[in-house]
Amino acid sequence: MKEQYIREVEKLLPLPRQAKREVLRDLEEAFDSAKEHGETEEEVIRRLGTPEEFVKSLDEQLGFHRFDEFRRQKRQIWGIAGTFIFSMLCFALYAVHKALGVQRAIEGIIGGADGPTAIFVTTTGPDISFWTGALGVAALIAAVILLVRYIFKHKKGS
Amino acid sequence: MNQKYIQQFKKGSLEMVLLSLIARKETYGYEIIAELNERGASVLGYAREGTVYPILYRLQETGLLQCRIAPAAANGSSKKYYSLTEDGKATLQEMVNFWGDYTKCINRFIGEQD
Repeated sequence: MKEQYIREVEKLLPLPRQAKREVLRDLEEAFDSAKEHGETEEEVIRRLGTPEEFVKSLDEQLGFHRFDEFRRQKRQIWGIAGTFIFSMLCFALYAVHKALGVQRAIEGIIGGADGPTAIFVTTTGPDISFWTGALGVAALIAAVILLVRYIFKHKKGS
Repeated sequence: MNQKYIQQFKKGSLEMVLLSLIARKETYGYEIIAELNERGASVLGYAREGTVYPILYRLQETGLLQCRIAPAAANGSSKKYYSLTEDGKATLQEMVNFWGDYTKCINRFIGEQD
């Protein structure tokens, strides 16, 4: 019962790992101390309220919407990671396209490809690789800007 | 009285009450809550972990409280014992002084009602 309660709170608590561990440790202590004083787990839970109520009252008392702040931070980190991964994908696509282009060019030289393929390579080939490359660079720059801004804001906050 | 007003009164004074409790002797979460309920529940309402812990965290964060974790005697679990820092002692004294002036001042205003 106690374990299940603590697990529920763990799932609901939007806090950084260390702060979360602290709250869960204290919650565990609350149950253990209550037991020492002859209180049952049911009585403790009745006082604490549901896991949702417990988490809500923590949030209200901590003030400054700290939980919201943490959720926002988490979203920002995911945003930065996503942008970075996207840029890497673009570069990968660019590289693949480049390699294929080279291969096709070689094939063209050796005569493995017929006319239309050669035209296809020279017309749309560079175009796509240009856009994937450009998009990759743009996304990478965006990721770096977001990261710098995040670090700067975080430093100022702490 | 409306819960909203009670909440507002508590917000301003609960930190001072907790600091006063901890100033007397090093103590831990359950003991603090038990004492609050024993002596204050009829006026302050029922204290619970969800309201008291966050205030303790905040006081610790601002450097007024310090804590040490010690193993509990009975079942291998541990207890977090709170005590005041030097800053905490000084701040509590300031708070208590201000509270004296504050209540005197407020009492003068509400005394005019009769």
